[in-house]
Amino acid sequence: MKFYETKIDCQKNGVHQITDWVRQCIADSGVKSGIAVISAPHTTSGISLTPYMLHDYDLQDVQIQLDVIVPQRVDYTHQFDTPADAAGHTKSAMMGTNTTLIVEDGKPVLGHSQGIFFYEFDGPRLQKCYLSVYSD
Amino acid sequence: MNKKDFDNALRQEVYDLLDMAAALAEQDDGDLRMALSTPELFASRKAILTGCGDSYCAALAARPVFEKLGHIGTSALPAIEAARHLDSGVLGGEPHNPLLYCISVSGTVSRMIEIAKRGNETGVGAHTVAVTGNPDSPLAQECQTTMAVPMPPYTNNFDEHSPGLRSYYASIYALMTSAIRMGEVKMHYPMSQAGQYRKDIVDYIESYKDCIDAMDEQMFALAEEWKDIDSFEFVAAGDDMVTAWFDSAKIYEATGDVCTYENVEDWCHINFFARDYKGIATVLIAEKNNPAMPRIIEAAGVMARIGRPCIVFTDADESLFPAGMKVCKLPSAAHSWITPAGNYIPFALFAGYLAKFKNVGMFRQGMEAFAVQDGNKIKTSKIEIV
Repeated sequence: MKFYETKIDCQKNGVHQITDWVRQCIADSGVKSGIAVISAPHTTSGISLTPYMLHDYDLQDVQIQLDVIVPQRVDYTHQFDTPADAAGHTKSAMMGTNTTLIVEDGKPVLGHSQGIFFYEFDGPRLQKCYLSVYSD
Repeated sequence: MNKKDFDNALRQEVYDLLDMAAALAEQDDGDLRMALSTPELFASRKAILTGCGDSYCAALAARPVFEKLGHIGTSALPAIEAARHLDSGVLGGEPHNPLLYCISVSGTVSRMIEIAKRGNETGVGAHTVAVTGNPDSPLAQECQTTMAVPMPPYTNNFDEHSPGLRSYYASIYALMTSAIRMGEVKMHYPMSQAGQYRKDIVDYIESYKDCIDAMDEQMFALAEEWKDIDSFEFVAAGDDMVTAWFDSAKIYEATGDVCTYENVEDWCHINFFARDYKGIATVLIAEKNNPAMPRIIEAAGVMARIGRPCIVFTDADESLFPAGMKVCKLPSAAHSWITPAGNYIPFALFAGYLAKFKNVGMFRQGMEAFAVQDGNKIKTSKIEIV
């Protein structure tokens, strides 16, 4: 197993593409066939796949739709932080904080349009992203 | 002359304060943060901060922070104004409005209990918040919310009660952190920035550790030089008026000398004409970013020209002031609004030494006229709802 870590300077409600970083790490690992697990070790962050070629403003669609489902309210039971933080916890739980990819030919197996994205549901914050690459 | 012979309770409190700031934050931040819920902070559109004496001064210090960071219209009122003169319509008629911070370290002074009762009796209206070091006090019991700021334990080595610096700082810290929290939950800045603001306050107090011994020497020398002066004027502008107010209070409490405070413009209009101008110690307070700094420098020139005994407390460049004028150089804060939390520190050293040079007890200890329990009737004043 090879383990990688990067830091992402997230803006508020930032959506950050990490596809190239994942490709580079897998290539570096030397693993030809196996799996790669990507993890966001935070409670207001998420990992998901969405079209890689979108403009930055289009990438906000996911954030906007999650806002519809999980609006920033003042009456969350979690009061210690902010409404954005409390909503961010729920969004993070809904999206999930890790994703597994198939590795074949030393590359992540992605669909034609798929890119890998790190989402921040509060911020701005300097967040971490982990990647483990396993050989079969 | 041995400076150690002039050590005093106020000086010891100054030195303790420099260590207390971090301990207070560590001890009280969690409770202060959760004292008011997010819905309560969002529901309020106006805040009133009120207190007596130093607690009123703490209200003055925190008012700009509520407006700047909390984004809420805020008034700081003396207790008697809030209790007896504030229109009842201001206190009632809208749920959770105003957010009425009633500040009293002991939580036992009559006028503050009266204000809280008045706020509560509006029915739908004021949300009363006790800012107190005593969460079991009558004031805390009267208010809907208690913002408790118990202080780390402390005793001085003297048989005298010191004018309260630690309690003043604790009240300021509680209020400022409440304002910071308000801006945080309203999401005007992220949690990390809110945490940094709180740290900036503590860091400002701790920055005095680097210069406190030099200040102590300077204030000891000044107290010796001014020991025969019995009148004081404190001159400032804007947010620095808070410290002008507080410094004058320390003179009354430490030495009992008569003093006054005035904004720099009106000082030039009125106090300038004091006949005994060489017998009035004049203290200027000027934070380097004060918008009135050019006017303060002008006034300093006037004071120097007529021969007033003067000192300037400032973090600005000393060369801005007339040649030969005494300057006590203060540390700078990360933000101007923090400075009232600590820029009284060197003057408190002076006030303590001056009491020793004048051989007077603080709070008139040892004088029969002041020996009566609650002789100033601040805790036994009749509570009336007008």
